[in-house]
Amino acid sequence: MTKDEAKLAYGLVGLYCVLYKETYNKTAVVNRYREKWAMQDVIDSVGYDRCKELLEYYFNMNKVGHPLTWFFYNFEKLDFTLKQVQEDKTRRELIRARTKTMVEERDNEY
Amino acid sequence: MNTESAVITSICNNKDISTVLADNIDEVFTSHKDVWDGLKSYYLKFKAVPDISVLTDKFKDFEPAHVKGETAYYLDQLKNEYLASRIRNLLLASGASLKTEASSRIISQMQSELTSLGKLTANVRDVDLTDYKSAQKHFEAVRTRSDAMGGSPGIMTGFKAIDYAYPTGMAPGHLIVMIGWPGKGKTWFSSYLACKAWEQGFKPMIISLEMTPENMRDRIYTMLGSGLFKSSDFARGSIDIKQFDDWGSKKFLDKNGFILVSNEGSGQVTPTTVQAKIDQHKPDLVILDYHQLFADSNNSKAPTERNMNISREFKMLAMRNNIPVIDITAATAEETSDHDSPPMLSQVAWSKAIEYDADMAIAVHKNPDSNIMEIVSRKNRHGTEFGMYLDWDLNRGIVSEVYDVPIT
Repeated sequence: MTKDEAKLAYGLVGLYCVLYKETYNKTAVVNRYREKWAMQDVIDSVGYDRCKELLEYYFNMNKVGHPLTWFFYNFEKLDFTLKQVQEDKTRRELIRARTKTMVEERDNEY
Repeated sequence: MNTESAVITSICNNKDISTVLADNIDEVFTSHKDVWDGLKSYYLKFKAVPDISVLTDKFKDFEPAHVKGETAYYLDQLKNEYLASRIRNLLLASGASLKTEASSRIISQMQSELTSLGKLTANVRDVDLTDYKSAQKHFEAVRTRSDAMGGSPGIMTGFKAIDYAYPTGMAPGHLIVMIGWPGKGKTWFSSYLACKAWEQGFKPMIISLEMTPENMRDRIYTMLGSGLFKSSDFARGSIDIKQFDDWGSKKFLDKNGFILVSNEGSGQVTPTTVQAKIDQHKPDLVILDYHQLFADSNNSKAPTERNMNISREFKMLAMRNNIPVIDITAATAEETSDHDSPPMLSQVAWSKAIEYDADMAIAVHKNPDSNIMEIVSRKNRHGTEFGMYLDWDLNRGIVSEVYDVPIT
């Protein structure tokens, strides 16, 4: 792991700690040195930006305690679900725009 | 004359085994089961109905009956005899069980048994599409119904987005599934549809296994009041009785009934119970709140099996009674799902059943800390997809349709 890579991984472990603090109002107990290796694996798999998104999405879920290890074991599932959620959001926006046009057109007919 | 023998002889004479095969009722053959199995296997192997002599040669005990009528006639007789015998046995067994078992358990067993017998009484209906004269009559009947009901053969929802995209309205036989995360406005939205139906002159019936009838009644009053009353005031009992009396005497004068049914949290409610309530009240629209709290007629224990059975039975209720049925369903989140947007069908455990049974699936999602509720179609068998926001003051019962509200 290069210094730059380690910096990114440390940064995301730090983000986890911030999100944890915001959610539970207490400091997460994390061995940053050890967890950076696992975080690096996640970054290698999905990229830095996506990993950040996944961490933020993780804290939107109702998972009790939001353990970091759970995130490492399930980030691929999270990635799949988040992809579905984002696609659905786009789809709903499109449907809403179409519905608006339909209602306006029908209202103008009468 | 033995009726089973009469059916088998008639099939061999008339060569119309399909009449019996279509009904899939092997169980009605008991004394002549071996002959029937033999006849069936001959047909499946050689694609032809054998002469009666083939059967008499193979089954020495078999005595052909002297028949003159159609196979369907003898089959109908056989079904009647079989049903009568099963019902007689069921009543005798239930009567004997009364000495040792709890009545509730006996009722449950009887319901399960009667449901299994139901398939012998159900009829399928065929339509010959080359019979266009019959189709013309059907179209005329639909048009007459639409004219009488304000432009749609079903009940309008009162929301333009839905009514334009769902031109049939909530029509007879339709199963409409309302999906949402727990506590995100499914019951409010469905109750509002019931209010709209009632205001159009229909008679809705809400079967709520979640709320007391009084709670549900207060919600309905809030919505019907359209800003006149606050839900919170009803809950506290702090309303102006004179004003309420004036409003009630005008609002409910010469109107259809609006039925609320609750089990008050005790006792199982199955589709058979719902059928009994439909028979009692004759509603035009039924709302079932909510799916997971109902039991199926077979009293299945496995949740997925039970929910799939209930879904199918609700659809059959809608079709049998020729009324629309709204099935309120809580989405069951997977471990990796958040609850921040309307659920997708894939987030419902028995989504396959919904895909098969529902005519319409609507996802409802109330955003926390705001009056904004998102409505989006997840399936619409009779029209196009639709989506909108509702700006809904739940406490005062005021609602309006909007399309451009940014989610905060």
